[in-house]
Amino acid sequence: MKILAVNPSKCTGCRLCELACSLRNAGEFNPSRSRLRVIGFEELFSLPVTCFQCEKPHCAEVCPTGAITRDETSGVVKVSKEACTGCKICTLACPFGNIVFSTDVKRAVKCELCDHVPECADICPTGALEFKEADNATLYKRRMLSEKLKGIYGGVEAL
Amino acid sequence: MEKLRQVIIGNSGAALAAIRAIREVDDLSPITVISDQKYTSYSPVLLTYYLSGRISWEDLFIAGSDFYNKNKVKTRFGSRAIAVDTSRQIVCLQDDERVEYDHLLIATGASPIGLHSSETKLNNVFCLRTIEDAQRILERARTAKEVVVVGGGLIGLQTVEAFSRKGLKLTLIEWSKQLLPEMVDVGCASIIQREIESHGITVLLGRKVEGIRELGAKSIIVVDSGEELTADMVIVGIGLKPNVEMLKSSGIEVNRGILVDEFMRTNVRNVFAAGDVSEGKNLVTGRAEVLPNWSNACSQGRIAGLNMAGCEQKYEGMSEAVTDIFGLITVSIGLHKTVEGDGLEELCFCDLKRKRYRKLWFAKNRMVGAVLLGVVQDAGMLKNLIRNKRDISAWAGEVFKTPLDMRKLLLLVAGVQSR
Repeated sequence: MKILAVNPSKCTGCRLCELACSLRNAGEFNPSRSRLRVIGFEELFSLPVTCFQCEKPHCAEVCPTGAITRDETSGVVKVSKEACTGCKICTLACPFGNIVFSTDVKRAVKCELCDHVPECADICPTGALEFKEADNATLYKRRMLSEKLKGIYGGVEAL
Repeated sequence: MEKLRQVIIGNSGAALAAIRAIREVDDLSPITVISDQKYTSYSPVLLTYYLSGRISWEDLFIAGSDFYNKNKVKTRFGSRAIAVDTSRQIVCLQDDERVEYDHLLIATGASPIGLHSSETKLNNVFCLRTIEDAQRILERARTAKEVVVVGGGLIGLQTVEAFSRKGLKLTLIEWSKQLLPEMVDVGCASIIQREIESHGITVLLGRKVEGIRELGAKSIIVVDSGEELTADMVIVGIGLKPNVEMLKSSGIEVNRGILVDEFMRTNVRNVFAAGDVSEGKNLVTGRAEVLPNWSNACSQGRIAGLNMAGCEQKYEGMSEAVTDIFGLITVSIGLHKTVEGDGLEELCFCDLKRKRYRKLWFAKNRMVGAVLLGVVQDAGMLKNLIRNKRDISAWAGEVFKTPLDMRKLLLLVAGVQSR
């Protein structure tokens, strides 16, 4: 299983990933339609945020039509175009705002890892976003990142 | 692992979530689902989408027979539970049958409150809660020209929107001084009202329906202000009451709903309750409340299921709602109103031109409520802040300076403290 690994210390905040994502998924260069967001803070650091493809997704748990499912082999959490009625209950369920209602296509949209070729990781010039095998080392790094985030957010020193 | 006879009364959001949760940890215990509905599970949330024609009949069903087979669930659809004998641990069914249980989950949901009991028999008066209700309404809508909707809550608003595309003459009557009184504040409600009126729908606020009488094929709705409205169809959506009738003399404690603790347990051993029928602690207000919303039902059902299967898990609910009225996406989380003397701080942002509005409520250093209209991308994050009672003092000033660009909220969501 491959995951989208995020390395915030390499992120320069160039936002190419947002453009690539919106082009691929919405057909236009429009960061507001990107499914991942780069969060910048006081120009000190930036962090790309996108769906974590949770093992037990909050969004899927509350979907009244069962439109959101997780593929057990690829680990990707997907929204079915046909089954989603656009009720938006999932957008309230995700604690990170990683699934949103698109007023353009009238249904919930989220990062689905571009059929295993994520454009964001492809275009990222610094390797802040990488699509790689979820081996122990990668998973360990991901866990460390979540610990480290507190330090980074907590003050400039940690950078 | 010990096999337990897990019995569930009800077959909607909470029941399905409970089945999934039990099967996550226990593959052997037999599960029986009892429901007075003859269909497989469907969501009442979807009924207005069905009315508007946006989804088909088949789309209403959220679990087919394969779901029950896969999870090895014995189904008793079309049989109503009429009593629970908690001393012998038996559920009595309408057809004189009995179902024994080791653990029982009551997830019977809620039913719409009617206007006056005498009107329920009138041909033109409908409620919208079950799939049969939706079918009857659609049938009647085919020939109806004038429709009066009583109740300016979620059901009422979604119903008028569903019918607005069918070219009917629509009137909405709400008893209180604003629309969506249980969901948003006056400011947000007035934006929604203007939008509804711009679609040619008449909105009457602060009016009570005194009575309805029939005149030929028409109904006459008598309003307390003296007005009389005529309609071919009246749809009433003025609230819900938990389905607890069968629990009389069961010893299970009921206030408005079945009282549950944070493990979804009732006062009687081995009996659990979840969803719209239950009344548990609201984590924002600290009071026991019936919180009839879909995601609450799913979460409560899941927690009930896990506890029934022996995994101790806690959950406290809160009020939350999201809807879309003529393209105005509206979200309500936690508190949605200031009551005099509650000492809450408010932050309000309003852009009438672009139909954007948000109001946030704070108690000391945590957020306790949010009403959002138009821009709602950060709703999940705000809910997380409220739900987890995050201390927001560290970054609040920075983050809420730009109330519509809430991406930085993630700082607060992560629970990060500034130095």
